[in-house]
Amino acid sequence: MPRLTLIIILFFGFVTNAIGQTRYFTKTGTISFKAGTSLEDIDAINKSVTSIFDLSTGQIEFAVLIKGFEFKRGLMQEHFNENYMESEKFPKSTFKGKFEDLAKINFKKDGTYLTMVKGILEIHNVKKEVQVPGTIKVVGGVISSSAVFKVLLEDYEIKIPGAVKDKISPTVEIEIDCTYKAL
Amino acid sequence: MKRIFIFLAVVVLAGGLYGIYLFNKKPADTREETADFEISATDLVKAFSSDEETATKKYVDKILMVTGQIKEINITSSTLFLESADPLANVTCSFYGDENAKLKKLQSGEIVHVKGKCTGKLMDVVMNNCSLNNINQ
Repeated sequence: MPRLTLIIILFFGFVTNAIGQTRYFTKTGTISFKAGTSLEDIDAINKSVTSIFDLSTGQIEFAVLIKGFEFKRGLMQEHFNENYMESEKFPKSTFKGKFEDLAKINFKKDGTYLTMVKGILEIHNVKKEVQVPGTIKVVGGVISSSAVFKVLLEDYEIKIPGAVKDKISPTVEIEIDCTYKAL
Repeated sequence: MKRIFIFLAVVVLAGGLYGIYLFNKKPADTREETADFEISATDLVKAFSSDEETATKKYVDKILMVTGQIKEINITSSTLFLESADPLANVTCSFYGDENAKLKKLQSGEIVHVKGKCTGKLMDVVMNNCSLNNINQ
């Protein structure tokens, strides 16, 4: 079965190569977030984000391992994994969506394109439909994506105990940065 | 009586200082830890692709010393990709930023020993907080 999948993937890989490059990927994208308040700075970064998009269909996906988020403080990282994200049970977070305005973006021409992406964001085993504004940049033929958006912890059933309520923000700001290569 | 107060004050102060110390403590530096497992990039990928659940229990959050051949070097993100027998899955090794000087001296095809913390599998098996090591270390 895995061999068959491989053959299919390779086959389609050759077909898309024959008609021009349409799929791009990265395994070194970054996702960072800020969840602090004026009482405490809480931020973390993950530098091994996988993302793939297909410019013929407008499909774009991101995946990240929760345990790969790095904090400045060890205890924070521990609490994030054990108490809030339960990363043992839910090791990944993903987004699968589509560009809403694919026609506006010319991936072959250098420039900065503002876009809207709509899809399903899965955090902490909860799936929600979200619409996120983002930017596609093409510089010297190299494509990169970036986005800044906010999520409500409550929407993803992440519970903050009363004792630390004033230290952890109920809305978390997430920032994404990916530079792609042709697949 | 006075002595008890002084004693209590010292205890409270020590407790407070210890609290501040714990609060500000950085995540453990994997370079100062010994590896829980030594494994080849090929075997590591194989373990995850054949049974992700078992491999996750065994390797995730553990310090691994992974040996493999460099497929690609990405200096901007301080990352090495190690080959496995599976052409679609590598081992992504995300290094500490200050390891960059050593990464710049490497070339694709070289065999390296990378120590880091395994965080799981996406397309690749991912290792974080990586550093380069000599074989006899």
